[in-house]
Amino acid sequence: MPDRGKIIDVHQLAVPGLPPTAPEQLRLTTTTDPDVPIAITVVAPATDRPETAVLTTAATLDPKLAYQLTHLETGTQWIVAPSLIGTALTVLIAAALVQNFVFTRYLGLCVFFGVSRKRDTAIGMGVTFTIVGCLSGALAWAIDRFVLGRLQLHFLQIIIFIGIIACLVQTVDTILRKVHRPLHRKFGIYVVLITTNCIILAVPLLNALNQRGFLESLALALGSGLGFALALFLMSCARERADLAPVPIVFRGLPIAFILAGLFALAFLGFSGLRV
Amino acid sequence: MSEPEFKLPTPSARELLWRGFFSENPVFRLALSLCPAVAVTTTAKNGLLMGIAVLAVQVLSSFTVVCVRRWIHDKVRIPVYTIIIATWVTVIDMCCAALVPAVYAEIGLYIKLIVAFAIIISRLELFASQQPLGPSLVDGFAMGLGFAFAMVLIGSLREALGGGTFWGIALLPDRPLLFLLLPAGGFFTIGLLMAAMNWIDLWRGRRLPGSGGGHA
Amino acid sequence: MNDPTNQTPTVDRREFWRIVRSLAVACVLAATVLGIVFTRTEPSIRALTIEREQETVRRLLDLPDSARIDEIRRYAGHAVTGYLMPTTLRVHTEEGSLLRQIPVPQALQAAPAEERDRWVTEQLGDAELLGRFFIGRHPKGTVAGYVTEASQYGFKSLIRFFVALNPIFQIQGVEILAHEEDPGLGAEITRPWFRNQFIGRSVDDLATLAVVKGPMPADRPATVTADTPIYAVTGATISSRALTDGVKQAVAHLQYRVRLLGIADGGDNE
Repeated sequence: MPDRGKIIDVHQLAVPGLPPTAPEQLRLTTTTDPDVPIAITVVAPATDRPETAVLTTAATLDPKLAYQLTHLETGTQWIVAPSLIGTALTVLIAAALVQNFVFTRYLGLCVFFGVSRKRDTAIGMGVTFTIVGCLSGALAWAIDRFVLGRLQLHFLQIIIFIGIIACLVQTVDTILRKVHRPLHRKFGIYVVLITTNCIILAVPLLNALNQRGFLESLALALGSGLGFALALFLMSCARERADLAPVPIVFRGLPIAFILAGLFALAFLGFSGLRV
Repeated sequence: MSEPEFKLPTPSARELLWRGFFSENPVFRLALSLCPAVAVTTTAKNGLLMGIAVLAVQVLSSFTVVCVRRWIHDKVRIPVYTIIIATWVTVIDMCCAALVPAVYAEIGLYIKLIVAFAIIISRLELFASQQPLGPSLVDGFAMGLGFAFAMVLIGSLREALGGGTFWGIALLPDRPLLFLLLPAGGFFTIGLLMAAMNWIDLWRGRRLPGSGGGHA
Repeated sequence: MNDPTNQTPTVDRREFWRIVRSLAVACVLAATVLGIVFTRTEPSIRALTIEREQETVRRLLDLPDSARIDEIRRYAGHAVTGYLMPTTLRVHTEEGSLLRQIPVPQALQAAPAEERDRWVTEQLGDAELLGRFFIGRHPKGTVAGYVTEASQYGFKSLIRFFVALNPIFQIQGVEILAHEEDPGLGAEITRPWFRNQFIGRSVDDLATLAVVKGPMPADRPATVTADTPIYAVTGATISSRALTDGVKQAVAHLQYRVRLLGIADGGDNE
């Protein structure tokens, strides 16, 4: 397992365990272009950390990319890459806030406008959806990777994913009914509604399209669920207030809800500045 | 087999078309299938293509359901409808990719999501599973047309005011309301159009539909 | 929806099998229909993709339809890099020295890309396709220019693009293939006024090329000099900067590879 380096600045890279070396002795590349070396101008010992060297490059380094550094004489390798957990966290936060499925990708709107009238229903739907979404995301990932991928049956994706979701929803419903009746009475209705929420289908489709790993796929499912729950909660609070406000008659009901959603979408635009 | 307790009267073709376009317009009135209405309507052309895709899926699925409903076990009717829709959606998805790749690049993901559109399954459940072939096809056609109409309307408004063009032709020297092209603009446009429809109703002296929104 | 609360808990056995049969038949029928449509449309989808790609390359390099376009696919193996040229597979060490050249069997030369990928995997033991570039040739075979495929993280997700260069490595055009930037903001990078700002820049110019905020002045001269900056799209500086960085890197990589493979000197005039 090679050691890990870290990008500390746009032109600087901290590498632990690297003794003072001439820049020509090192070879730095990205993992996608292992044939083209990136020029290193200076190798200097780090001032704040022991046994660490700081490399300065001429080109800018991108913290989103993976790099590999090889010592040509000893053959020692270092990997400079975003950690798996870090990537997953980025996907999660992006899915929940920056690219919120409801406000920036416009998915799941039918259910969104349907159940965001009361705060209780919004919370119930949000919680149920997040849980079922994670389950279906994980299951769909496994089937896509191990069955559809192996057998080259990608054209069956939609029908299989829909099947998985339908089966899962039925199973969750049945288990909930058998195991915990009060819980079923409270959440059963939302479980059934989930099949008509397009987010639950979009998540596995997006994962398959981007060929994400398991952790990232799960992060997208969780992030989309949390983002949906957040959107529902915010919206229900606003709609409860709007019900008490003197809204012009032609705007009452759905039109004002759409205007509110538009305002939320504008507010969520602020998250785009967030670099995660 | 579905056995409705009472047979609904079969409405006339004109009545069905009117419902699809105005009184039960899937986007503005029933608030169903909204995802594409906001997502792909940054230009009128995209809106039209999405509308056509939905129209095709709706008519084909209605037709299939009417043909095979005799053999569908009542308990699994919803899953079977879903399979029928998913099949047609995949077929259209592949045909779209083969025939109009440039357009497919833009609306590909949303075509796949037609599967989860509530409008199609609700028409199958409410109409095609009970009515004879002819009216079912007309109903599917009307609903699809109403949907396409809504998409083109939203798309034209957003493209004209947000992008300053119409069907790709430069209309205005500037882009007056750029934010209409953003997600938020889609919500505002639909909200305003819904209000406009309510206003037309009010003006025609009808009572407003209940302040709905409970449809999923 | 199937209201589960109304379902009788005991479904008798025959009923159960009828349900299962009904569902199974539906699934099999659906899969058959999809299979047929897939096998019918797949070849034309594939052909269309290739055709569109070639067309884009020709347009960027300003070549007639009769011009030949060679595709070069790059693979990573175990500490080696494979470059699949039209008639040979060149295997280099990662440091760049040539290890061996394997001729591509005649039958494979015009085969679909997937089949050639599989062949390369067999030859190298393990290979992952990492990238591609194209060489446009005049009818006589001389190099008319290069087009490289590249991608860079923009504001929202990956921006995929082509950069075209003439034989002396000046940019001849940039074309955005796919992106998910916001319409009206980041998506403006696809407009000709923005991406044409790259035209005419040489490799040396690119090293010092800066991106500045603000609208492009109306009196910007048509011919760029080394210090003419790229004027960013208003409200989408990050997307503009990302594309510029991506172009810089793509050009540097392409130049390195073209020299490595000796294409420019006519050494590998296949």
